[in-house]
Amino acid sequence: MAESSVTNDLFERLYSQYADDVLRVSYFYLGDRQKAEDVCQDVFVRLLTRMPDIQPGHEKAWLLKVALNRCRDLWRAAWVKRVVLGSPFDCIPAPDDIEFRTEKTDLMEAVSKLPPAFKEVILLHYYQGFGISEIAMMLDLPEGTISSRLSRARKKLETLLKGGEIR
Amino acid sequence: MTGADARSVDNLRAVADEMLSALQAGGKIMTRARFNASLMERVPESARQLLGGVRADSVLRHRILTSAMRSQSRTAFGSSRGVGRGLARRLAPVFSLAMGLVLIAVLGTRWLMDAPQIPATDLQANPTLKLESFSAGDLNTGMLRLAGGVPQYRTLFARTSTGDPALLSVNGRYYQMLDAPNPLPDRMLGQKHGDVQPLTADISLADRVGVLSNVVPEGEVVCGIEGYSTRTMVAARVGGVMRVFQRVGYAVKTLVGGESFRDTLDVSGKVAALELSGVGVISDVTKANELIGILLRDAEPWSGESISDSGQALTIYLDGDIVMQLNVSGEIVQACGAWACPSFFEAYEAAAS
Repeated sequence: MAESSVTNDLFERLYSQYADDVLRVSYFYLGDRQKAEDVCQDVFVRLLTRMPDIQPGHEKAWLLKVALNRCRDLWRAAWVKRVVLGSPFDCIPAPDDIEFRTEKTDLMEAVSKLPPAFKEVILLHYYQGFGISEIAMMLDLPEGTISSRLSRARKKLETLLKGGEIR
Repeated sequence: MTGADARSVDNLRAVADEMLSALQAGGKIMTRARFNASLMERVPESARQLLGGVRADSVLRHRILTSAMRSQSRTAFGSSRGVGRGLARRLAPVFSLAMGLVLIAVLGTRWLMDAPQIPATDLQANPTLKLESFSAGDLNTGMLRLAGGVPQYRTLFARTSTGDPALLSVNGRYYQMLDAPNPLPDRMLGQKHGDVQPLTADISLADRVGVLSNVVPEGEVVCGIEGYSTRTMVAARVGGVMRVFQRVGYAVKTLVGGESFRDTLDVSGKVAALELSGVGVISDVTKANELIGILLRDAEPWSGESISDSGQALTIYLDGDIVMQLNVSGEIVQACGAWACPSFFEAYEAAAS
């Protein structure tokens, strides 16, 4: 009973603090609201049912790690559908300023077009504010790989924003 | 170094500048530097603005909790796979029953332990307690049903560490603490409504005047909630966390003065979604508000002699991540009083099908 209560308290706290981030990163990754909610649900159900041993201070990293793993699975499984889903920003009301909207939407659409490995590091580093060492731990990769991916992701973004194609 | 060498070195900068004058760090390199430095810095802001409307609301939260309950149930039953098939088949009914009991005892502890009970003192004092004297005990809690297609839901009503309903009494109006949202977002906090006077374990003794609680510490401020009537809900800090308290009936006290059901459920136009356990979720905002409109318009006070054990709840998801819950038994909803409303349930079923 005490364990259950602790888990519930942990759930309430983490849901309140990080559920939006989990949902947004998943939505950004998948471009589909329903699938993003499914991922968010899977992440928190896992928290509630498996009672993972999360180090204090690393709760958000754990949640996003699980979310990204799930996103990756879905991405692989639904690659055909993904092609017709379009931009995740098509259905989100943007600011009124047209110039402002175009610039920001272009940037975010470019990020969303990146291959998963690059999109993940951009999302974690620039959007969620994780350091390279933290991302390396989350993705189980060497720090050098993360730095390299960030650098290559930036170059790919630059290419995309200039209207080019990336490989 | 000779004088000639020194002169050559001095000239190197000029010679190099002249030879390399065509090579300028403009255009591409500058663009790349700007791109790296400034555009990427805009990712968080851009993402926040574009994704700001994507929020993990209370509907999703409830969905997660229900799914976790089901998952735990499946996990518990899944452990029987190790038993030989024939033996398992023969022992299935017994095993199911045993596992059900274990599941209730172990996994559903929190939810099941939350089950409100009519305070013994009230029953002793009112042996002929009619159901028009609705106590907080009328508020059913979520229960994990293992068979029979009875709906699952999780109660939102919180209890104290001693198992009593977590209550707040403000001038004769009773409110019970909810599990969600936890905490109430700061932006939803309204004006001060009162200060909690003595913390009392026996809140049924509360006078009609004053602010008493068995869970909110003495001296804490009770506040309204932005956009909602204090007759419907209030907020107060418990254990350092701002919590929502929903209006309920308790100890024969329901409506105060000339209040109506609508006063205790003042949510018109603010409903984001509805969930009637076992029937379905109405996530269309217009339809959800229409249904609540029917409930508020058609509900009649109910004063039957007895009430069957309820296994249903109507969860009302509101703007601002606020959630309310009404116990449901047949065509009766209960929270602050009990109200019969067949037309609501007919309309709900039609909308959910």
